[in-house]
Amino acid sequence: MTIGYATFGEAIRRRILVIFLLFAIVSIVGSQIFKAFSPGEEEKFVVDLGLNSIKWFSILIAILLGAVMIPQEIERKTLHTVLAKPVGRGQFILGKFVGTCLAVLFNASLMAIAFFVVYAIQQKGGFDVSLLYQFALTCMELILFISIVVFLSTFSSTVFVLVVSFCVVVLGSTATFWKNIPAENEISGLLFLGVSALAPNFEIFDLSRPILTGAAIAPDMITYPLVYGFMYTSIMLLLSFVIFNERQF
Amino acid sequence: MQLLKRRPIRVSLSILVCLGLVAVLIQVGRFGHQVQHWRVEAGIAQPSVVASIKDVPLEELTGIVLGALFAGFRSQAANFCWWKSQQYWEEEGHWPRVLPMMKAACALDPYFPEFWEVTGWHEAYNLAAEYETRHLPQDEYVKMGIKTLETGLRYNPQAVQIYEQVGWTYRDKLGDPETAIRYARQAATVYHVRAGITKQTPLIQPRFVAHMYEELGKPEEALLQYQELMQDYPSDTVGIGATLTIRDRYLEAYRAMQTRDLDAAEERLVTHLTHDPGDKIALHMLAQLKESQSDTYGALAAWEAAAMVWKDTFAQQHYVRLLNEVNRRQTQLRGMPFFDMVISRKVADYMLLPRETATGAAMPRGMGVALYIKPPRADAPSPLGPRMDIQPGDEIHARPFELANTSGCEARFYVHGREVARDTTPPYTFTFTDDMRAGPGTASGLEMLVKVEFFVPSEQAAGYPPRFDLRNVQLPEKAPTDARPAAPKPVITSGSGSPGGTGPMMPGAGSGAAMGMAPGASAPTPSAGHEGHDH
Repeated sequence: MTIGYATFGEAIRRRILVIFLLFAIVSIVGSQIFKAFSPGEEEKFVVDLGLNSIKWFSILIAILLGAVMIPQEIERKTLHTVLAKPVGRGQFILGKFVGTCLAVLFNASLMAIAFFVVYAIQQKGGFDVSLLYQFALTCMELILFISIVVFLSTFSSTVFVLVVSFCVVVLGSTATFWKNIPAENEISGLLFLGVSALAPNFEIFDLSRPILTGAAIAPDMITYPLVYGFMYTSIMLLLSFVIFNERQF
Repeated sequence: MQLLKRRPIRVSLSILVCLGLVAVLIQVGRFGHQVQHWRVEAGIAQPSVVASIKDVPLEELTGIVLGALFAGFRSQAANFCWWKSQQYWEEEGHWPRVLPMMKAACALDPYFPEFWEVTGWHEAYNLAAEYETRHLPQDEYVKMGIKTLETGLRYNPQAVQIYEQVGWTYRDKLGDPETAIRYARQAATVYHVRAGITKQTPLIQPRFVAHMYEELGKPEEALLQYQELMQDYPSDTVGIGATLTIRDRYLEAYRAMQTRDLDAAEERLVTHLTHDPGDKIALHMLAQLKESQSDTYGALAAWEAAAMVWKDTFAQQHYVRLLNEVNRRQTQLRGMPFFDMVISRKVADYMLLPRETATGAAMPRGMGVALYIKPPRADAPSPLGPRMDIQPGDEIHARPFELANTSGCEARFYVHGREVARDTTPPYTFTFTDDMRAGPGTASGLEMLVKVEFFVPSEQAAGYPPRFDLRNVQLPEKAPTDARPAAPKPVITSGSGSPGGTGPMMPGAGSGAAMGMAPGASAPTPSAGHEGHDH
């Protein structure tokens, strides 16, 4: 936990809260721009902009934090100091993961509060509880993504983590596309198969359709993605433990 | 490899554990795809981009949109397209740019009903009005809009507003209340299924269905609908007013029609119409009564009078149907060279234009007849059926068949809305030339529109009866099939001669008289009755 708190404190010192300010500006300005549209369209645009901004700004923070947290410790050799103490490698990884999650989720929560306020104003005081479900799923999605970033940073450099993390975001956001795209030859077929099998599926964490149409959300549609996210995160962390455990510094 | 040599068992175990974890990860991935599949089935997730975007022309998707789409910003890409479409529409009104953007937004985000609703509405209303006769006939755009709305329903079967929009479009633009009722009922069903949701506006569906039954001339069914409505909303003033009106005005005549006591039914209706000549429901019923009596011209006059009432597309449809029938018989009767003068609904609109609302300054607008010419490309499809084949050099003669006194009358000929000739002496003539083919749409094989308008001096127009008297037309019950003598070159005449001539198609008098209505009742105004609850 100490490592987690330290990581969280370090993230705050990096002034990641500036991103929250940026988000607030985007949300407020966006909600004013969309007033020209009809009420249904305005709501859609505000919801799309708000929810996606929360997600993408948080992912950006996760990439930036995750890419530096372990490789930098190794490059600066501060890792040796930490591991010299009675701290296992697994605990170190878990601490870094928890710390990054705390920082990212804290920022996401601030953004969500700002968005909910803008949404309530746009809806003239109304609030949709589905937005809370969406926020819960977004948090799970971010935790899953951070676990991937942690996994990548256990065996690679900062630049590699930055590039691959971004690719993971793109692949995960279009997972169904890669699954359904027709392959022209065996190699591309294997590639698409591999991508669709291993890449995370971020699409299942999206509830914006039922939020906008007012359709009922079955409990399964919330619990299944949570279960998926939990399983994927667990595997990523286990892989990180195994690899980091075997790594020599 | 060094590590493997140093600690072979431990490293091998680690590799095995990693492989095992990857295998589990693959299973988790499958589970993720299954969850997405369930979500699509439940209607809370979109189908694959590949599945939904294949209908959008790739050139219409900008690089920005494609980039955003493949980076996972599908919804934002749709919003961007929509935003651009609104900009194009407001700033330029340039449909070739507006429509693809709207279609792209629909394809990128098919589960947002408003995109379909607005796109379909634009096609059926704005595009139909602005592009009419230049590219496709108005009805084709209306059908295009309906198709868009119905596609939207495939993705959004719970979208009450799309059902309502389709129903309304059928009623308002195609004059098809029966289909409108079907969609309104579907809207009601969906609404009741989704009664738990909070974001839908309450329906005016029962009123709409009741009103459609009134338009169809079925007051008893309308009454039942209003009674159903008032069970839920006992104090609904529209329901109360309409119930009283139907019972007072139409129910007795309708029941007489049901028992085939047609004289009594007609008497009731005509008595009512004498007091309120603009009551379109009574006119519809009268027209149907006349048709059931095989009184074509009585029916035509009733439909015509109803069509004069505020935007009654249902009556217009029936008016055109009967008018085309009369025209077909006339053509055969007079033994003219074969041609099909199809009277489209647009033409009927024009023919029905009341003189009082004409915009001509010195000369009030007179009679207009539209003749469609076969498309320049012989194999080009003609959405309105066969057309006249007019070649350069052909003379087109037009005679204002409703006017007894043609002195001072002027004929103006238009091709594609562009005036090409004027003539002030009968027979009013212009010669079709090759350069007249040039116009919007002709290059792509679409058809041309030749229109003739007759203008008469104001003082002279005042003396003309406002409507045609169809009673003077003598027609055989069954037209001869071999009355088409061959002619080397057709002389095409829009309209036919003077009263008492060789075949006056529609000489003038007054349709009100044709229906047994009181004098002066032939130019009805919208009824002040319970038409006020029209939606």
